[in-house]
Amino acid sequence: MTITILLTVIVVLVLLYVGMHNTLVRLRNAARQMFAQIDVELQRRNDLIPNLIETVKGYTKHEKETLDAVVKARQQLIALPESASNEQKLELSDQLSSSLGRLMAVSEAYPDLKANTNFIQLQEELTNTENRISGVRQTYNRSVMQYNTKIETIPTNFVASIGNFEKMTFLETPEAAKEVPKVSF
Amino acid sequence: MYEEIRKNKQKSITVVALFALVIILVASVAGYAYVDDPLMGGIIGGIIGLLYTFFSVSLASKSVLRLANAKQITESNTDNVKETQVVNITNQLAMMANIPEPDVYIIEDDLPNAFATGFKPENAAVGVTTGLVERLNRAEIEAVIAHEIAHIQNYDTRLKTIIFSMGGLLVLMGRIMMRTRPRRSSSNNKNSGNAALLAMLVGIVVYLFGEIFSRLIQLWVSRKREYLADATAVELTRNPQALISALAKISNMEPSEVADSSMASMYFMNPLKNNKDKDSVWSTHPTTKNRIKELQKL
Repeated sequence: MTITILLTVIVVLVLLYVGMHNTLVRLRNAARQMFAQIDVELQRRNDLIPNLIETVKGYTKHEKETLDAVVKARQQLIALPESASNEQKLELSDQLSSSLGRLMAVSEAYPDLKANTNFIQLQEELTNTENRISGVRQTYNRSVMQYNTKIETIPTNFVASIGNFEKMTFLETPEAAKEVPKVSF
Repeated sequence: MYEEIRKNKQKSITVVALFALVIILVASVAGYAYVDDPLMGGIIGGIIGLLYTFFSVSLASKSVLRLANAKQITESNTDNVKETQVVNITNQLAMMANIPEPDVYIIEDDLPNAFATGFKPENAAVGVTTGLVERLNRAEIEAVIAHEIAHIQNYDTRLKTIIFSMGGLLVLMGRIMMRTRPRRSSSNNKNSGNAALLAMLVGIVVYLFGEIFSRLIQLWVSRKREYLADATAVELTRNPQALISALAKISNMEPSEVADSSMASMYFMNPLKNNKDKDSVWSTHPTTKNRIKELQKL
């Protein structure tokens, strides 16, 4: 009798442990997947830029500095080694965002450029990508918060310390990113 | 906010349970009257009700899109940059709401408006009018689509279709009971006469009030859900001002000439009348004034 009760208790405890462990794994994977999505969006923007530069060059004469800033920021971002930390990557990404923002601002002065269909399309793609980048950051932070809360609260905190689940860090939204204009037309 | 969603989920379960209870109760009366077995009637009624709701719900999404005369747009089948914009916005918001990318449809209608449909996020669709695409700016379009994404994310589209189907079933049951003469194997004549009368009376009541009852519940649920969708939309876009200006812009325009009245409660705003002043039990949406007031609180 006592053995049956003991066995039942052990089985229930093991099942609970497995369940909580799996929840933690699921949340951690969700956060990691969101971070991988940031890379996808950054890549999408990197691919847009050469086309954008070509189009803008054809219409503008005095904006070499602004264009060079964009090219330089993009190259820095691409040149980052695989081992670079998330913070480094996003810092460069924010620089690129703000130089792109400046490029978009100066292009306002060229009516022919603004009327170019190719430019209008690129502008939409760029706005979309910038929005996706900031959106995915928000979502990443939200999933990190869920995961971290699980790690800190009873009873999952016991499972987390046994299974070596470590807290993840939030992504800061820097001032530069807030400057990026939400282009509307 | 999450507290709101939780409360709303509880309410929707209550509403569906209430409907199911009424349907089973009516079926039991029918069972008692026709075969002298209320339990059997209730069980059969419950099963038929479940099947009926299941089938009409699974057909609902397609018929809505056909009713609205909607045309699907994708990134590859359009050159129009404004249409690409709508697809981009929808995909971006779906990513943030953590739901699969819904199909995007466009409807020829000069009044800016949008709706969402689909039993679950996996097969959901968002419809926008040409007026929305042409008359609102990017931030406003984003706000309106975020409202529709919120309906999908909060499973409002599902609840509305279920309530609609269950209401239809109730009316159908009332009609059948009013017209069918009970045939009972029971030898007790007096008893069977009473049962027949009961079935007919219940049938009349259900037929007459079922329609009104289900319509009122549907509208009540719809109004409640609009506030929640507005709030969720702002959580997604972090831009309450854009939603406010979209609401204000649309409410200052002439009502639509082409929208179907049976779809009125599905849209972002009622396309047939701009109820600016007062809420009534017959409104599909809260008044624009109240919606803006709630948004300003956020």
